[in-house]
Amino acid sequence: MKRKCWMWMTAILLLSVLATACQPQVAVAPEAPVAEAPEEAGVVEEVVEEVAEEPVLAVVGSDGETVELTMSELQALNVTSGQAGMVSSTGAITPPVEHKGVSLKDLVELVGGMDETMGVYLEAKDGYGITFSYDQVMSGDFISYDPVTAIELETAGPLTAIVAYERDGKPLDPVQDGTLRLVAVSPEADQIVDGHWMVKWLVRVEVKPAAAVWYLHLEGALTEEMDRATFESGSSPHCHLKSWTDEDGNEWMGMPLWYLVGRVDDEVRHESRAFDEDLAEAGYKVSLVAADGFTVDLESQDIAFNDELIVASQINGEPLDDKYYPLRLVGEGLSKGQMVGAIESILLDLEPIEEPAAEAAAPGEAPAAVEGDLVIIGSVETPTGLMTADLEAMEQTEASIMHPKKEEMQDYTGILLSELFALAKPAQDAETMVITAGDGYQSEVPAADALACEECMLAVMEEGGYMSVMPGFESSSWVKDVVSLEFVGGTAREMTGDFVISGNVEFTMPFTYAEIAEMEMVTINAKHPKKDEMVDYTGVRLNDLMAMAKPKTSAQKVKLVAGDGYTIELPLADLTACKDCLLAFDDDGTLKSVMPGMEGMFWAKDLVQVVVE
Amino acid sequence: MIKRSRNILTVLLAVTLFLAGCAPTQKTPLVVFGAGSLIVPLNAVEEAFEKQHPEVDVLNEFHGSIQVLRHAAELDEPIDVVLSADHALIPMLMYSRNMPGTDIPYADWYLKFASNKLALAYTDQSRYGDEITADNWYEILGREDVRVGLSDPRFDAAGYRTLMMLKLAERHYQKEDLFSAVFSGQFTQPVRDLDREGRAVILVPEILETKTGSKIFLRGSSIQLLSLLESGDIDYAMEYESVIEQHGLKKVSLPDPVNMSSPADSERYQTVEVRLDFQRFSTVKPEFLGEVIAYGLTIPANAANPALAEEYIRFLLGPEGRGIMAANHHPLLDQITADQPENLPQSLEGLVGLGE
Repeated sequence: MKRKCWMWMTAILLLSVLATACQPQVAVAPEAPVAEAPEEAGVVEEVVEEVAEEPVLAVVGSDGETVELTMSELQALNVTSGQAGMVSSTGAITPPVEHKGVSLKDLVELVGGMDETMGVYLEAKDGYGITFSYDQVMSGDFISYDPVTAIELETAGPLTAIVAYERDGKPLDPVQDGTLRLVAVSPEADQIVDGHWMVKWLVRVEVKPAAAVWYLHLEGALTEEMDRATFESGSSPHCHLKSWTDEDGNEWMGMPLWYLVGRVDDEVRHESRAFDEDLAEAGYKVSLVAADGFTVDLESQDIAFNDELIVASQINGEPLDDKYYPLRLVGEGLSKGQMVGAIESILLDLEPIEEPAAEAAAPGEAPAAVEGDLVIIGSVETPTGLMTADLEAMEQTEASIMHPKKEEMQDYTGILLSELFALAKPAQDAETMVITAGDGYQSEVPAADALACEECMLAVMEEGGYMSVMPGFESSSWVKDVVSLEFVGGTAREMTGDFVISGNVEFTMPFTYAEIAEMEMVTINAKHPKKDEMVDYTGVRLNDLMAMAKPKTSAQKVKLVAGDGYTIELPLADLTACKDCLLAFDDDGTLKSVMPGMEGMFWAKDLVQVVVE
Repeated sequence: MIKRSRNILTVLLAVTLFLAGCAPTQKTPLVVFGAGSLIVPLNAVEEAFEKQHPEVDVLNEFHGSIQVLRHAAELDEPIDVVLSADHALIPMLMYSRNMPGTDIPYADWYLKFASNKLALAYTDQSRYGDEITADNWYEILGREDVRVGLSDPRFDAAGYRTLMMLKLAERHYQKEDLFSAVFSGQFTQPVRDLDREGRAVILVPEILETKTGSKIFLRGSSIQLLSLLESGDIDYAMEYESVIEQHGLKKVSLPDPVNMSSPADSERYQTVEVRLDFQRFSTVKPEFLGEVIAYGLTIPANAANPALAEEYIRFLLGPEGRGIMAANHHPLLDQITADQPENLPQSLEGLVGLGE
């Protein structure tokens, strides 16, 4: 019996060994090395708390309007589902699978929609980004491929770009795809698209202008690289727009050449004496150079104040054709051969001069760059860059503050924003403060609220760097790893003008007395409320000046500001309704407001500024 | 009887143990991410390496070079070897980025191991294929009825290299309108070229789309253009010479001042630059300078099998790998060079000549 048991046990042992040897070969999947979580010092108990839902997607409109959506909010939107698959650049196929999400079209509608001049920028959490065209967003215009062979399809069914949160009935794999991913769905599993469009770890969708970049190189006594935005601003209807109609009836639009020359002929770039008349009279050559090197030379005397010589960027309201893109010299008195296109440089035959040390930037020009681990820039009197050591040397404040998404107070140590603002001196009428993190994430808060916030601070993070602690603000403004605070809007930048229109406007407009004097004047007969007789007043209509500044649709009121600080406020609507309200010269050469029908307090002497709010 | 039973069981035990010893063990995976232009040779290398190392399962995956490195350095995927068609991307994307929670960069060395040349691919179906030569190719590309494939410079190094090559050709052949003859009027937003103090700067718009009826066929990668060539949907495409040879396509070879392969012409290549009008990655500046095409490889710091990765690289750059690459029309450099040679794994030091 004993022997039989031994034999059976041995047989069982042999069979078990054989079975083990026959297991199929398995390649062990590589495991990602796990970074050990840093130990937290001083933790004595584990706090279990329910954290409110964080936003998973920021949707930004072309005007900056931002909607931050949590997953619940996203899932509550109109659902679009279908089959989505992809092919990699090297032919690897991911077959179509059912996906569910929200169409890009619906998302951009949340923030004002888009038109053909715009694109939609999609950004992943690691900074990867790609821009979709209008046609891709609105019509699902993608090249598609057979899902089996990856051969390009000549015709295919409709495709819709969606931000997907579900794949095959389940949430997306947060490691593989991220919480959200862009996919292109079709009703049937009959096509796939290029993988590079299918942005993983999607965190941001932004509508933005899709215009191509170009630069105009201006060189004379000074040098300037003028970008497209600056040129278009300068050639807007409220600035220096001029047009010329050719013999075929085409209307070419742009700005007079002499304005561009005036930016680099001497130290003065953009004020009334920007174009140096005396220098032009003395004579120098102006060369317009095309991308292919073709050059047209003109004489300064012929250019001086000549509105007929136009550097055009548009024809019949559209950008120029490739042949002339982006700029062409046109106008009366020019031969065809002189109408050089594809202009990339305007060169003045002048000796270069040293740039003034602290030059005020004209509207549209970028401010001087500052560097530091934290920069405070934009509409500030003193752009400030601070290194970590500088920040550590500043007075540290400790505070217990409640995070908007948490239910208990947290202790923070850091620098009050007010201390930082005291260094940089932001414009008090700035509109927005943009908080930027090291990974590019941005959050905007009303500048006035940030300036008024006594407890707001940059708090030290355990892992290094600073986070914005913003009691009373949305959680999205509590940003980790803050690297920049930028003020947008306002008039902190030095304005070299005797009279300025600023604030909630499209274009901050500084004017010198001389520029005002050269404007179209009207004469009205009106009675000052504190005087008995009707008097003729000659000046520039205030509404004409306001039109140049172009108050934004949200503007409600204006402040008239005098040189001695006197300020009076009135509704913008009242000013708009006052057709005869003027800006006139006083006897001492300063400016005054002439406000027929309004009380004496609105007739301000030594008027220096109109601030729109 | 008992003795006989025991003998039988002993034999059975011995046989069983023998069989168990012969049964294959679990294979160790070796994850290799490579640029698309390396598909054919690296698949051949995989086969040969696995023959020599049956315990290893080489898992190849191919993408555009930026995506290859992004998978390692931004997505933190455990990859054992990365091979890029643009060596400069390795320091750009991996040296400056640390593994999460550490101050260890994803890479601090790379080996420059291969080059390539740009050439013009075509087929028997290509228009004017019977008259195209090394002297007139640019003129033929400029013809209105010639369909030209372009890989998207926003996604593919071959794309921006093609733009650079055409500007270099302009200068070499002294044909000032060569670039515009191919691209002018073809895109909804133009690809512009500027002259900045002797350097040609090509600006690629953020949205690059061809107009309806355009002669340019834009695809995400140069590999995708091959099927269009073979189907006759396009007439010509700029490809790497190795890929043209691997796919048996017809080829117009380009001179060294133009094909971006010659170290002697590196200064000339540096006179062209492509700028993308957007920041595609937080870590990648959208500016690419013309330079000699050079492939780089490294072992990411988060590789799961670094020792095996070193073994693979020794194989690839050794005599057998060198022979495989040459047989697949993608020869290695005569001399392998290293960036940051002081950081090289010791077992790879013998592979390199003088560092840069």
